[in-house]
Amino acid sequence: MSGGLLRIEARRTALLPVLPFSALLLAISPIARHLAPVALWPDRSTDVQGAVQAIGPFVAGVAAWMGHREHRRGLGDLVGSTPRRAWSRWLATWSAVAIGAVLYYAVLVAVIFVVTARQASWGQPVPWPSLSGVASLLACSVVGFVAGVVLPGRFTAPLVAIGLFALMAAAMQAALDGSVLGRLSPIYPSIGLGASVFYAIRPDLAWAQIACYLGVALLAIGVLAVRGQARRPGVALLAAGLVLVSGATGLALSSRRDAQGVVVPLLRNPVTDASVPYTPVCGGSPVEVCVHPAYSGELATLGTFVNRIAAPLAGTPGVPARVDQVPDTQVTDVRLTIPNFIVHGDTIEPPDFARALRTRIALALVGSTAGHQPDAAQQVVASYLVRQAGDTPATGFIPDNPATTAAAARFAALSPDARHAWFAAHYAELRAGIPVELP
Amino acid sequence: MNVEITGLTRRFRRRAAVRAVDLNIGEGVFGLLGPNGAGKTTLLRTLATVIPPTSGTLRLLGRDPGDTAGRREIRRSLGYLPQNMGYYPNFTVFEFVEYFALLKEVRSPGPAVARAVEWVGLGDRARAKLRTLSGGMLRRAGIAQAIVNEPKLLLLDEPTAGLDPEQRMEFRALLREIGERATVVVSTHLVEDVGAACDQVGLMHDGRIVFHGTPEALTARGRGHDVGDAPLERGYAAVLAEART
Repeated sequence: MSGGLLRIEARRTALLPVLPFSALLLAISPIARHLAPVALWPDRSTDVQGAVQAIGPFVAGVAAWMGHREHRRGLGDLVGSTPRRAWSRWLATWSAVAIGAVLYYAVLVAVIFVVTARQASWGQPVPWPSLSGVASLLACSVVGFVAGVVLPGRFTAPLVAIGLFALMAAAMQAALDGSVLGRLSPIYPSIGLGASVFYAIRPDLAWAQIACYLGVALLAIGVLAVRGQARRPGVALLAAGLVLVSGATGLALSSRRDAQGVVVPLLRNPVTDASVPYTPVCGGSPVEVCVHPAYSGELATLGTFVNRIAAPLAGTPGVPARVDQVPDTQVTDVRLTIPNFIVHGDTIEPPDFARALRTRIALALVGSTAGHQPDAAQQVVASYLVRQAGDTPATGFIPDNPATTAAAARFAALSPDARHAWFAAHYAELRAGIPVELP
Repeated sequence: MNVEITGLTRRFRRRAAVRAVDLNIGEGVFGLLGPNGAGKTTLLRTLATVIPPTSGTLRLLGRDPGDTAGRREIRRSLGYLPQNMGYYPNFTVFEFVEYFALLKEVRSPGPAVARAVEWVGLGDRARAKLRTLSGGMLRRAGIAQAIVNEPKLLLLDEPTAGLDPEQRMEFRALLREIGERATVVVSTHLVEDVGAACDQVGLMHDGRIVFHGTPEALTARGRGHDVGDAPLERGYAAVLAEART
């Protein structure tokens, strides 16, 4: 490939005119809106990977458009009479698209990381999702280009873009439905978000994804080479691509999920199983709320949120004096599980999420821990705590039962002194799961 | 001889577009005349190594285009302007010619491109996008890409189509200049182009060469023939009429 050809192609690639359109789409997409909530580096780094859903099909469509440019413009005879092999000029055209796509992606990554750096209170960028994103964009671009060369036509570019978008979404859905191969979807998070900031980042799946995308890219470049009068390098590229794709498929097939994400036995590093030490930051009164320093910006909101729920229990012996945040994946008897949450201003969003969080905190305050079915009394008191905080219980945690609602209403109708007396007499039993008589 | 053709046939499925052509062309300007569908473009595409012959032998610049290495060497010294020249509208004139200079593996493309662009009179439009050019200017940009590698074999298919009379005269002068050091094959159905610029002329009909000689010899064939306005046209018409009978 000639540097001169690449220079001309880079200046005239069809990617440049469509970039503003793609940037606009990104700006109004959920990816941009997601930048406002809690700035956690693992989440933001994964957002970067998720952006491939919006950029990848664009890039593939543009590449397909460039791939059938010679055919569309009727230059076949003219370029066919030159000594340089078709493969060489195709490589230059594709490289211009790929370099443009990667630079565009790099700008997007930089913007997200700069915004996150200004917001985040703990941690650092996680490179794996970005690397996976770059590899998948390369694969998208070359697959699109080859489609344009092999199947030239005016509908090739839109079909490639739409097809790739659908394929990514289908693979993602398959992964969510339990398919291990679906984990190779470019938009499936390459790192486990459940463990979030609490554990070391496990890059097992990222390696498999990167190998898969590079393999697909090599396979497609190999097809280009064979078709473009470079049979020998083409066969070598096809072989290398096949090895990488097979390897990645094998890694994905052997993978399994655990609380921290996806484990690939062959790539497993025990170091990534260890939790990352941190000193929690605490605030709020009378119940003190302690969170991971990555969430320190949300401490005040969370303190108010928890204390509003716990307000009727103030002064009751045995009420937890402190609420600790732990990973969403961890079940514990002594700590309250506060999963990753989203804060907008002074409210926790979305409302369904806030309702679930309120209900879980209320249940935890009355002694029901995650994974244990609350008894009738715990359901009633938790329901009351949620309602007095201005919400209704999430039905996923407290079934919508008229008897429970009526009992909670009776509980709410008590005078504060009577309610306090009831809590003083029965709270310890309630938390211990011992049946108590409700007022 | 820069072009040696023996018994060359080119078929597209059952239809033979070029039939058993024997032709040798040396340095100078060779005009390929013939009515539409005579096989001129197919013969030129074969000479441009774009399509291989179905049968027969072909040697260009002393090399066999059927051999990969030979074909590559031929293409380095080949200039070609197809009848329907495609182009990239968002390229500038300079970029378009430079693109082909690079595809033709020209050692110092910058000066070569500037020279070719100046030669065809597009120096002041070198930075203009191709989509902004008139048909005649596009044709000149096409000629610039064809000559950018200073070809030893230049194949031009209907090069004067779209040029105004002044441009055509300038172009003929350019052809004569190139023809002094290279073989130029010009396919055209404009007889006056041949008369003004060509040393040799071939006339194709139904895939065959039915006349090969000088323009003067073709003119002589038209004596006593009353179809055509100019002497060369009468010769052209006479040979064609003879071939058709």
